[in-house]
Amino acid sequence: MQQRKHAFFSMAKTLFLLHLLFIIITIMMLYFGRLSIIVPLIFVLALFLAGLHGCRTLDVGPLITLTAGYLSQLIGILSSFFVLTEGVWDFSIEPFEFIAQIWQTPLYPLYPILPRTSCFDFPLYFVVTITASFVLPLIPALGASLSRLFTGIRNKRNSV
Amino acid sequence: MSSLRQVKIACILIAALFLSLQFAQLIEEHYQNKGEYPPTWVRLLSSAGKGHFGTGNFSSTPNNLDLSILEPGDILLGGNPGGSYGHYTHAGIYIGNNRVVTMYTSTGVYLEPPSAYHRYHWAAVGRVKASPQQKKEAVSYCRSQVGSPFYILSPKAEDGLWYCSKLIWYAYLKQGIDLDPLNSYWVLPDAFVQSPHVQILEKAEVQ
Repeated sequence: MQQRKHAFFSMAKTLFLLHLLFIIITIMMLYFGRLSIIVPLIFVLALFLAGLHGCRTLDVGPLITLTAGYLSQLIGILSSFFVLTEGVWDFSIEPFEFIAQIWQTPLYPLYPILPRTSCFDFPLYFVVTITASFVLPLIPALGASLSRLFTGIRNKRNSV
Repeated sequence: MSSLRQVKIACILIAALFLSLQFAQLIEEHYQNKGEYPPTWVRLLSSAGKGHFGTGNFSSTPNNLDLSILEPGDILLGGNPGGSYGHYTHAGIYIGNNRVVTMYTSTGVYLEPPSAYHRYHWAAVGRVKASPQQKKEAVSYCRSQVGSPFYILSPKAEDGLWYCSKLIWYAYLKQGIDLDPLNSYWVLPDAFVQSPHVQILEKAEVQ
């Protein structure tokens, strides 16, 4: 139990630090204009590999990886929550809009190529910003799922 | 032992952050006493230290900024107490037909009527010293960016992600006019007031 708890927090920490690292990398890469578009792609790949690697080394299953992913995205989830429930609060939610935006920095190089349409009265890029924290944890979870799947197939082959 | 060390590191980081916010306020005061505009990072850290974030608190009564003087290419500026980016916290460019190209975090680049600047505690109209053709091109460029995303950390070199004052600065830079004499990472709305290329025609403040 203690070991699983340690593995869970270790995975959450890895995903959180990976996110922070890509915020910094993206800001630096934005100086290179459209070339920065490779950053979100590498970010998605890194999240996928973190899930894959975590499953192999820490023995963290897809569900725990998904939960760890949501824990690592807590900043984005909370800020999105305040933005989505804007009318409920007496205070200005402007700082939360900024936090959500800065948190989703690794995705920003993609935004200039998104269609300039709106969705639920928000521009598409902002919809992506406030929903990304709910979607991103699925990527390492997918990596962990595939790792489990391949391990299962390999074990089956070995036993045959 | 390890968790105690982590707590110690966290305490040191929090203390360092607190001290740097206080230090920034002292440096800002020093610049203000000299009658100079402080560096952008000092201005932003100092505002954060005072608990000022974003565009500040809007006025419940409108200011009386005269909008009849507006010509396409003019810059509208607005500011509130509690704003974090300087005296003026927002900027837009008038494009004619009662429309201003502007943007906020959750809207991206969009069009609004100039009367939106009556909501600010203080507002101003700036006229860029440029030829009619340069203004026309700048207006045309800003209009072409309607629908583009807002991103507060975008560097000056990036031309697909905007914040209010960066779009105006970039549109005029394409015409050979650099409106940012402060020359920092961000182009703050206050830079337009400091610019020798901008003449402030009108100022208004809620009494």
